[in-house]
Amino acid sequence: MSPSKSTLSRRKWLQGAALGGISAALAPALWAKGAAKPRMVDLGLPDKPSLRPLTRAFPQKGEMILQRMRPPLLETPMAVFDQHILTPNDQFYVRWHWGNIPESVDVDAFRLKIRGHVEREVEFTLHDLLHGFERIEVVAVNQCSGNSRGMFQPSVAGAEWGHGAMGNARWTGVRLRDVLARAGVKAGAVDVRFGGLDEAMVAEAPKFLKSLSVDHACDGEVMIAFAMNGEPLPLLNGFPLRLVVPGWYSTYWIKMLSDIEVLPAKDSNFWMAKAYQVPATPFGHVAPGTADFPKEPISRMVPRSLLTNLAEGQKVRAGTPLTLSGIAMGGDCGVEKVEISIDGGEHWNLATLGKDLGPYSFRRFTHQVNLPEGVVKILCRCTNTKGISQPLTMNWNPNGYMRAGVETVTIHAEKRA
Amino acid sequence: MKAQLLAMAALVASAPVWAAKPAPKPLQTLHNVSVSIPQDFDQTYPAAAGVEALNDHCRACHSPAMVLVQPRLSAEEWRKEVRKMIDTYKAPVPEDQVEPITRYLVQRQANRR
Ligand code: HEC
Repeated sequence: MSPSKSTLSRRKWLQGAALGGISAALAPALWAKGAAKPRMVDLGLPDKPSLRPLTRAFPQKGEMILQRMRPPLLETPMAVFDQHILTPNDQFYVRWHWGNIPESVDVDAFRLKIRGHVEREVEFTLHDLLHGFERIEVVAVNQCSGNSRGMFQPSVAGAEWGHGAMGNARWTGVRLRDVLARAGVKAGAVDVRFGGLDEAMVAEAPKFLKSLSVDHACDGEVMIAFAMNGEPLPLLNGFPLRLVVPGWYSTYWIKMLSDIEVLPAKDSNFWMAKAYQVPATPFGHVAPGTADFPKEPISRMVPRSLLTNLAEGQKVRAGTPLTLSGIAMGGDCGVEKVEISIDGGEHWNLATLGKDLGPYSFRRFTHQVNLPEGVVKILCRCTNTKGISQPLTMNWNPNGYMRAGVETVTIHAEKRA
Repeated sequence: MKAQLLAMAALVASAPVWAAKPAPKPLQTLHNVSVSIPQDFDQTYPAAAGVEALNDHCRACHSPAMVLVQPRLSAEEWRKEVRKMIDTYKAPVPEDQVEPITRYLVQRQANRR
């Protein structure tokens, strides 16, 4: 192919060609016959290729599961959630839609622009944002709308993630409300639209843009973050600025945030009006196979819980105390309780909750069990502080969003393991 | 155990840690960042009838690998995917290549196991 003849990014292509030797070596056997075999992980994805290579090839990133090299989709291995309640920056998942991502940022030249339906258009330097506003901090889960899509049954097309398209971090920044106030939101404003430095690969294609209602944008919780776990954001997580929308799916957490446009009408851009639509039902659930239903843009997260110290199919010792450990999240509020069943959902017991880092954070849970010999189905179920529990029947929708039903881990308890 | 319980109680009693408050060691400046993001433009689709069409038209925006790990789709579903690339994401694919591409994608999955 000769994309340089088309409108596709010539720069990226040439650069890619120059790096060809390196990437061939990184590519898994699956993609490049004869290339050195990287270590693979099995994500346990039903009815589709389930193995993914582990990679350390990405800048400012440690070992990640390679879902897609270009544009990067990097998944956080489950062991990271077992070890850390705050996901380390270098193992925080990565997700980009378009491959035109700047590889460098000049912090003196960078500007955040506020424009549109405002009294006066303003531009802020990074210095302005670091020193000209009151700072706030929040611990919040950032979860991809399509996290766990690969587990969907029946399967659906898209990024075939395991459970690791999420992370929890302490975000530091300034209130979006305070920043908008400097520009003065005009009466009649409806939506606030956010764009980053990344661009589509084809000029006519839709740039990745997302919006929040003005009321939400000004709620005092939505943040323009410049730090993640006390450090600048890794470039692939949005350096230098990222929108933080506590309790909402990551699609709204625009990375490399550089442009804020206040709109006098509802945003009708592709990524708001056509993409990221879910059924307007609890947990975005419809009966598998349903295609026709009232839709709405995805928004608030829902409760989830995952075992982190036991993997599907693992062998453990029967008749000896075993501590189950996992992480839970309330979604758009805190965790009220986590219950555990070791008999496939017949009986439930309360798990012990770990330290509370706030309503938007992961919460550790642990529970001591003594397993009978045989095949054991372990379930965990989170109920949030609004009284919403994870459904026992897995939720489903055709785009693979919002997976949050109770997950089952099947293990083998043996006399000798 | 008792000490642990007391510590937990103290935590619950103190102000919620998520309340707005300054960072423990506040970040004062940001420094220029320059990295190199790995690319895989050299990767091609597995050889089979019609592969040229995919190598020509389905590599510019994303790794072939993401296409290869999709679940089994019907011909109609694959055709819809290809149309989505053209109509929504503005992939410059000649109309007469839609069917060869669809056929390749269906056939490849049929051959899988
Ligand atoms: C102009 C850019 C572009 C080209 C060329 C392109 N795609 Fe895509 N493709 C995209 C974008 C954007 C996505 C969504 C990416 C994301 O969500 O990260 C996507 C996603 C996909 C997916 C995942 C499922 C989905 O719908 O999100 C498949 C499968 C796919 N493309 C197949 C193809 C095939 C086959 C071709 C060749 C006909 C092709 N693509 C060419 C832009 C392109």
